[in-house]
Amino acid sequence: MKVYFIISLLLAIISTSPLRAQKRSLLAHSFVPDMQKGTVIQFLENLNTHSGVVIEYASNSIEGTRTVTLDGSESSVGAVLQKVLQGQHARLMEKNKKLILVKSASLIDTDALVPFYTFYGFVRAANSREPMAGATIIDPITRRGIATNPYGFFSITLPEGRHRIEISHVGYTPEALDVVLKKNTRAEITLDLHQETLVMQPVIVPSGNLLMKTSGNRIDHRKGENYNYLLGENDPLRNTYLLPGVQHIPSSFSGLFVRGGGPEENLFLMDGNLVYNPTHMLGALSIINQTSVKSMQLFKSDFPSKYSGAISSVIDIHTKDGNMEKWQGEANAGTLSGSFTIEGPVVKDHTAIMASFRHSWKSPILTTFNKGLDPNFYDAHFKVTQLINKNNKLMASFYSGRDILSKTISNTENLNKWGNLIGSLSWNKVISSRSFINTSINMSRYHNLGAYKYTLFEEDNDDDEDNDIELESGSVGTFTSTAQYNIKSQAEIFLNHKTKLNAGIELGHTIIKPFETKFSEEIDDNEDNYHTFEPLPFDELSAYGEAEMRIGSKFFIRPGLHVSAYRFKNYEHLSFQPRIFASYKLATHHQIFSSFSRMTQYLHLVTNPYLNTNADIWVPSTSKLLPEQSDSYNLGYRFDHSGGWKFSVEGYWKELRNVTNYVEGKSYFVNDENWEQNVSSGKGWAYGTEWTIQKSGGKLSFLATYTLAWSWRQFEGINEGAKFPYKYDRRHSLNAGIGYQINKRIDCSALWSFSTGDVFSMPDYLYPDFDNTRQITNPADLLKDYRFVYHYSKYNQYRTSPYHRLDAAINYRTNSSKNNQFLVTAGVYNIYGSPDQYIYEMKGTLKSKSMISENSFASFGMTPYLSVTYKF
Amino acid sequence: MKTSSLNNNSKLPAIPSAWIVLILILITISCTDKPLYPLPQENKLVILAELTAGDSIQIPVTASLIAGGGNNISFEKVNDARVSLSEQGGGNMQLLPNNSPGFTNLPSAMYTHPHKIKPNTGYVLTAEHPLYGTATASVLVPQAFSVTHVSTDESSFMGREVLRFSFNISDPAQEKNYYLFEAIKQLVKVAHYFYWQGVKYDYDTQAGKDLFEQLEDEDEEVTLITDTIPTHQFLRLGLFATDPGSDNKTIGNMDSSFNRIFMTDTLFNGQSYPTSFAIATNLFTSATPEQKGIILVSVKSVSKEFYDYLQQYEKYKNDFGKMPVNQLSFPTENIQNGIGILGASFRNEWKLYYDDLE
Repeated sequence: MKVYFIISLLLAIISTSPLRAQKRSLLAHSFVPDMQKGTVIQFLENLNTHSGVVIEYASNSIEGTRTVTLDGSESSVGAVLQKVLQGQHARLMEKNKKLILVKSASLIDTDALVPFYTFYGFVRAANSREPMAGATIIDPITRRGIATNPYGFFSITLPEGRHRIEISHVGYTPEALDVVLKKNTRAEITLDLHQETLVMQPVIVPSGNLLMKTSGNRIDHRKGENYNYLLGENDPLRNTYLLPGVQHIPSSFSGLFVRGGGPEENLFLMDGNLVYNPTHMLGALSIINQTSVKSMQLFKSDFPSKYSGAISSVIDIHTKDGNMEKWQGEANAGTLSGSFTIEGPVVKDHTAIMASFRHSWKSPILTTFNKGLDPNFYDAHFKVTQLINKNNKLMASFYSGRDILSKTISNTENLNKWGNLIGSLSWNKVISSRSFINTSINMSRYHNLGAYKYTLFEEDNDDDEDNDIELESGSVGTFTSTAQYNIKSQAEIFLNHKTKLNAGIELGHTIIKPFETKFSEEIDDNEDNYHTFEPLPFDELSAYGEAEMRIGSKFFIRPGLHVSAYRFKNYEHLSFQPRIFASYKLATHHQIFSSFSRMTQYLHLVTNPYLNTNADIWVPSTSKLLPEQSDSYNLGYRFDHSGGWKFSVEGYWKELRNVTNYVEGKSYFVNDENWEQNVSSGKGWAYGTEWTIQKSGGKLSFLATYTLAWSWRQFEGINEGAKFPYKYDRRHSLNAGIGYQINKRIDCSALWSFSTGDVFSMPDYLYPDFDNTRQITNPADLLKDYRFVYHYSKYNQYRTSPYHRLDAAINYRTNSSKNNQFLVTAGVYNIYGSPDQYIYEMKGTLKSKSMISENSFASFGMTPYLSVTYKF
Repeated sequence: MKTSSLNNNSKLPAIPSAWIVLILILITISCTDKPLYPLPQENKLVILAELTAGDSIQIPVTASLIAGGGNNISFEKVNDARVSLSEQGGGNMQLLPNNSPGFTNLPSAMYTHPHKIKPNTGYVLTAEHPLYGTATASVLVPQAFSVTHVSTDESSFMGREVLRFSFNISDPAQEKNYYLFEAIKQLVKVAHYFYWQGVKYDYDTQAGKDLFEQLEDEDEEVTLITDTIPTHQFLRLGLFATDPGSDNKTIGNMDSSFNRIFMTDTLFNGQSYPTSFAIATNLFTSATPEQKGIILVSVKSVSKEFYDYLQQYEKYKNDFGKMPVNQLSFPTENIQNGIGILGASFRNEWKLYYDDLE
């Protein structure tokens, strides 16, 4: 708390000091001229006579006979002089309490003399007062603009005078405000939802012609709903799968692979709180309920300094506060689950709540087209928002989710049980017209149990499996849990119209609870039966500082530094993570941008190699298992046309250090003392290019992304120390989506995704069993017919068949009143039943032939779906 | 202002054809991956050898099989290789295939030489074959070490009857040592025979037995001789790791039995270290003559590559069938241009007699 008060005090001192006014104190004197039109000399004499400020000048230093017309908004000495001296080769100095005007070789800058004031406040959605993140506020005349932060707050410094401010947000009717700035001015701006533009808006929100301040992608979760349906479930996270460089790998932890990084290298934040596993059904569906999302942003190359803890990507999601004006909600029944959301004011304009709940069910459609699939999950989300006053807001949110998934593949029964429990208490405060701070206390807990039962059969060349004799069976299970608690403060300080500072501090405590690999005859799904080891706690203290600086009208730079101190038992680590982003406007619609980011991650996720089992374990960094780090270099070009076309291309190079892998063959954690010996660390590289073309607006929308990428790993002791392709080294990836609005009620869409296959290892030789060559036999060995050893020459030397999938959907909206509307969605997922996983197995015994079998699986086969949503 | 300022009548900007060409070029040059799953065309020599100080040279040589090639899993003896072993500070020995009946059932051809392996000595193996190429390997035989304070006692472990084998290892200080413990039962053949008129007769045949009884009835002086002949066949005995300092934790559950116990001198370099392991006694005795034998308990110091190979080999056998083949722990080999392991050891061995060998 002491830290917070010190920071607040510093912020108050910095932000409340009228820096520009102090520097030009004489210019800030109030003054309204006697005339609106006159010569330069006449205005200077009027100023000398009536303003109380003395201005000295030589008549030959200026064009005194030029006629100047004021617009009546000028109310200070500086504002008047700015207009009067516009276009003059002159320079103004303040000395001895006088203003001295001298001749100069260069023209007076357009805003050199006029005082600046801050125009600040919140942008909210009409009828709900929901703060809007990412709304743009632009003064087209001065070309100054800014976007609201995740809490809807904005602060823009403009010169004194009249301004026509344009406020816009994708999907909402733009607003224009006439503002006369004579002092710092606060505004509460509301935007109406534009009914005619409910669909066919861009998934990836374009920055327009504004100079880019980040290359992170802001996702409009509502407008991408054409492409983000999974069996009728509107999953906002699926919008990120359309981005180049982002892979969705079903049946994997989190399902998200970004620029050659592993699934554990993504930081998923919900209202600033870390979510360890943000997916259901082994990555098929996210925990995010579309109706509760306010904003979503993905960073994969350029990381603002406030982020750390993951070396590949950051997904930052903020949920709604709840409707402060009226009660509303939504109920949905689909093929996979049912859900409802309700939000409304407990006390109008003061207290609002939002609650949503979703639970899976086995619909006849699902079980008909996906035999053996038995999804069982739920989400519960509750949030309460309290407006204390116009400058202070409290928010408390709570989330609970759980999954139970069982599948049988290739004689192997798999069981996974995992869940998240998340809570946070957050306080927003507008400290002054130019500073804003958010402080939060967060808790995130995660547990995961993964087990499988194997059965080994005596093989022969007979394809009839009923004739196979069971030789051996058993079960292997792993249980782990993780909990993190943190407190953090993040501040934004708008120094002037060209510079903004971001700073923050965070203190976190993480406990990895015991983990065990349990061997038993049958699957044990009782977490209490797993042996408890000593917990592994670690602490992290981090701070960051960053400056957003606009240099001229064409160049923007954002340097920053994130510093973190880590401690686990006797091991301490200090990490300096420099960040820099820069953009340059080549022309009105053309920009280039570049960035460098160093990221550090203290948690390692060791992926268990078992088949189809989410038995992944988080472990902390130690002196033997150093923190993971990445250095990302990025260069890109973007074309953004106001007619709705957008094109971008980026090239990147990423270096990874201390990435983890199970030591070959040491995939069990059988005790707590030597777990580090089961994990090895190495390095990696990822590089490639990403292309995006998007067209939005009008009846037809189109999105296509293409990625050409390479990803490598290198571990001592694996592949004889030589580098090898990363498992998900998919060379080409292509997404093509098209949407068409037939009329006001009906729209349709189709999405086709393609990617090159994954790499995998398989043995290329087999040779006799070592004991066999000495005629040593083991009477207890049930696997006598398997007394040989496989040998492989290289790691990940083969590639599976490519992956591709076609989805189509159609939406129908009743043209009911705004308070009662039905949305019916019908579609087909995976139209031609393409697999999303290939598994290769080696078969053969001493009595039979050595054969390779290829099995392909689809998380969901060709599945038609129907979903009905009622909005009230 | 309620109307949008966006211009919906914009023309599609032309993507320069150069970009399309560039994309096509990039796609083309990157499509150089191997075809889906090509198999190797030729097999390799396989050598799975252990050079034990004090023993004569025995090198099993066979050929690999191509995995997934559709061929029957049946290994062939490679009797036509040129196999030689050169000794550090000594000469080069040519090994010859040994066709004695004891090696008939092996999956590999056995190349032997009567020369005794020396401790703390380096060896280089070369095996040449016109079809499989030339495979080479080198190894250093560990130096001698002693085991003292040996004692045994019968007890139980995890509900099973075991023989606890306790001893002290006198660890040499100059280098890192790798130890493994194992117990096998060498099957013996009990032969009965007698001599009459200078001719040896086999009593274990019906004719011989009839002759012996006839001679006894005729009060002829004839003596039945019993001889125990060790075979080249062995049974592996299950071991339990009773020392928590063993390296078996990474292989499997410590409550289960292992084929070998692994231990390094990390905790006791240069010292006399007391340790133990337990041997399952279920095979110590046998009612059937075919499974009678002598218990051989070994405490070995082995070369590092051999230690790693056998440890991974144990893990491989433990995991086989429980996970996909490509997730198994493949043993690390040291044969150049071939497959397998050339290992070395210094062995301390004890013989225990439990079977009635009469």
